[in-house]
Amino acid sequence: MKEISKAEEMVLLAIWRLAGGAYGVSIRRQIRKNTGKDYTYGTLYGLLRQMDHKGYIKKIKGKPLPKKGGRSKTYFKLTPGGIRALKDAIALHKRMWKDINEFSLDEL
Amino acid sequence: MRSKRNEDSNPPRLPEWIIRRLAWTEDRFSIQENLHEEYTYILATRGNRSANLWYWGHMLRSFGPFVKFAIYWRIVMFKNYLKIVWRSMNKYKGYSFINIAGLAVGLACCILISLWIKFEVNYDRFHENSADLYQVVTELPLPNGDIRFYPNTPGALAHALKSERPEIRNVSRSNDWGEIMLGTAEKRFLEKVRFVDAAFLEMFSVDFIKGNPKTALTQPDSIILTENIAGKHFAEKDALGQEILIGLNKSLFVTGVIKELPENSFLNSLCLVPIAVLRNLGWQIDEWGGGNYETYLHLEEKTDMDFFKFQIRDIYKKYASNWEESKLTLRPITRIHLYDLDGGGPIVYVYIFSGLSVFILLLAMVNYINLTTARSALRAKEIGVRKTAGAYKQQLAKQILMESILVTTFSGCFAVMIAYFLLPVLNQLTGSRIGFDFSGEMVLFLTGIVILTGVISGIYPAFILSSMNPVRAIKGGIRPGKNSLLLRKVLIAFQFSLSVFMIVVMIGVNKQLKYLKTRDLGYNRDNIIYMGLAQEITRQYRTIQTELMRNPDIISMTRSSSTMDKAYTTTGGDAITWEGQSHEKIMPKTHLMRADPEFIETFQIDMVEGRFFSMEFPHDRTESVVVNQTALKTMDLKSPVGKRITVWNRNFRIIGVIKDFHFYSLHDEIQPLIFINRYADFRNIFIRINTQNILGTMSFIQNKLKDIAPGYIPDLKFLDENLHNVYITEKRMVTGTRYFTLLTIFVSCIGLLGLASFSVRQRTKEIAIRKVLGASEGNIVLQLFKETLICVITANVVICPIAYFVLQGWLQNYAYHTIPGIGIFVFASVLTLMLAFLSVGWNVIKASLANPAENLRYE
Repeated sequence: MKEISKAEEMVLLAIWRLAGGAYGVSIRRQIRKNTGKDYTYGTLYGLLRQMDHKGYIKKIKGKPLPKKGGRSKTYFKLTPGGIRALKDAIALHKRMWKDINEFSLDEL
Repeated sequence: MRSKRNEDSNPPRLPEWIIRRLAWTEDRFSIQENLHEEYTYILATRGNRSANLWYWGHMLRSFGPFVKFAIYWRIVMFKNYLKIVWRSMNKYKGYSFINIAGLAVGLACCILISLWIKFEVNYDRFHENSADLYQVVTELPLPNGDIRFYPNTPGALAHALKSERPEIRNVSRSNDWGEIMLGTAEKRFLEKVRFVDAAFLEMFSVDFIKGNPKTALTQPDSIILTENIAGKHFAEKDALGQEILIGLNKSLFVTGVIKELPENSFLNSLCLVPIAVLRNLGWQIDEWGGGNYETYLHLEEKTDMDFFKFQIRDIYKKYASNWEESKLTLRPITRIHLYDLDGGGPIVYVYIFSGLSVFILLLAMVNYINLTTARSALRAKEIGVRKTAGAYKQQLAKQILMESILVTTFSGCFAVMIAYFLLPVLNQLTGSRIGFDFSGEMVLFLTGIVILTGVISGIYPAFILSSMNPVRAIKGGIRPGKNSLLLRKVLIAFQFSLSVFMIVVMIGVNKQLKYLKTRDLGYNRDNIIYMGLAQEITRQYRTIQTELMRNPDIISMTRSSSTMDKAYTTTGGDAITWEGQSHEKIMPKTHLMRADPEFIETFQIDMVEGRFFSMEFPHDRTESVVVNQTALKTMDLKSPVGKRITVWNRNFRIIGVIKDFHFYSLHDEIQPLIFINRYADFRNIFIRINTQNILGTMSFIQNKLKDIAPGYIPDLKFLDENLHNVYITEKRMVTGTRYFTLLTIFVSCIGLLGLASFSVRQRTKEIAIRKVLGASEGNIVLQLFKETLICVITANVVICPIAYFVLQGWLQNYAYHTIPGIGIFVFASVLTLMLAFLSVGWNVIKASLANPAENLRYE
């Protein structure tokens, strides 16, 4: 299983936290709130497109906006593949950090 | 400005537009909506200015990621295309081979020809001042209204021009002596020698390895050698200051060794000697008399050429009364090689051969187009699936175009290899030494031509395939339309008409060459040895003759001013008057030939009237001439023998009329000829020998000459072979067209082969049903072959007249030529038909022999 990158992990987690309300603006806010990183839409949508291609997330068309000529918003949802990827990420973290705490790092 | 817009206003237009351009189609609007949403929020909370600032900032920051991801997806798609191309090439190996082989051959042709063209076109362009260097050309109007151009000018012209016009930076006279014996007392070689003024070294880019360019040509006994020549004569020794003998007696001292000049320069491997040497030999180098010199000018940059040419046009009128009728003009030195003064020149071959290689490439493209569209049914499913999955028509077209570019790139790699291995053949063909170069220019050219080929051959299939109806494509109901079938036939006809054309031209050119080589020249050219005698030993000729004639195998020998392959001295007009001349008659261009009494005996030419020169009449040497039949006809004399004739103010008497014979190439008709027995500086020796013991006789001649003139190695040639050298361009045409014909046939035939195997496979069921219904094998073969037959016959009918006219037009260049008979065309037609049958035949016969039950089993 290929690991996901840190950035992908952040985007996936943001989508999961937003639970159904994940679209461009909200994902961006969520990431900024959690990590302080200010992703541009170029980066964000680039990552989203890649992960869509890899099958971690899928696009869902929302209701059309209630204004003239309003387009429907595109929401993002995790697929089972995405969830598995996140689980793998946790597992990896746990394996990597096993028996290590912050104090251990100071020991050497 | 923007601050005046209301709350609900849109984000600034420019960054919005940029974002829209940068983003991929799929998410373009989502991204814009999101940005808009945040923009509205900021607008409401923090005001207009910060909202606009934010939008701009965001656009700028997302620039990088957008580009990065765009490239990422390009690569992903490209990998996918590559995979598909690879799979389809693998699946249909035969077709891929045909496509790639054809395109590779075509591209290899283009590479080779472009290498050659680069070589030809860059002749003498390496000189730093090449753009400002000119050769002076004399324009001489002929009585019949034509204008002849000569590069020859009087020796005094150079300095007169320089004093007349301030635009001239430098002038140099030059006299090309051709090959001359050169070397030390022990070792001599024939070398090209050119006599020049000292300024020559400043005008042309000549790099000195040794010696001082400022003084190298100032002393009248100096000589400059190229490094190769210096190495040949002096090996490891320092050549500078060494003595070199020119001719047998004149000694010169090496004052400079220069770097070898490029092969494509008129200065390649040549010795430079100060022109003052000629003055010491008694030549009139500063007079207005003869026209033995070339004059080169180095003009100031940005000289107004029209004005300058106008200014010098009538310069002869001012200075030289005997050159009065002539005008002056100039030609850039970069044109000297490519364009002959009377039109034509290597540029013609540049055009012909580049045209032919483009045609070969075109044929290969036709193969690609034909095979790809014919196979469209096979790919219909893939296209259909892609379309239903949401691929745009444009994307599909792009994919198919990309495929053809990939296939051509692949072929391009093979083409480079083929070209590399065939370069020696090209060099042999063109008589040059071109190296393979991988310069940036060449790589750029190659990439360009590969992509262009890919696009041209891919664009039609891309259009056809991408506009298929997806539903029918997946169901398998796609049949190639009438239009594409017709196009395919037209393209096959086009290919075959080119093949026919090439075959006709090849045979025609070949026939003409054979004709030129075997036509009765009016004398017996067999078993004659020719040698050019070095000037220094011409005085010893009589000794040589008596010595050689002792050998019974030597039948006869003679001297002559002509080498029998080109015209030398010509005169005409007022220069010749004769007894009984009527007023309106003047001699047109008339040739003068000087020869010994043995001439007619050696060449076995008959006299029509009177006699030839004879030793028994010593006054023949001063006052007799012999004319040829054409001259007699022009002079319109009843009984010519004994008539007085004046040539160049000297009086002669006609003692005989010789039968017409060809004394130069068959390009031109026989012209009037006057034989004189007067001057003794003949350098061409002709020896008629017995057919027995030829080698022995030749070594006998060589040894005898070595005894008489030590250190001199004569170059013996057979006259007939030497005569063939005149037709070197024809010979190259023959070889060139032969290669191109083979390639044309090869490319067309493999294309037809591929197409036939495909169409037969498509029609297996039809064939099976026909057979079940009682058609014989013969019927089926005929049925299947009919289409191709019609194509090839149409091609023949259309192209044969064109080929006839082209060939006829070419043959008109020769005063004496073969007549292209119907045979050539019949042969070409039959040959192409046979080739077509062979390419189609295997598949057709296989199909007609197949067991119908096999092919109908699943029905």
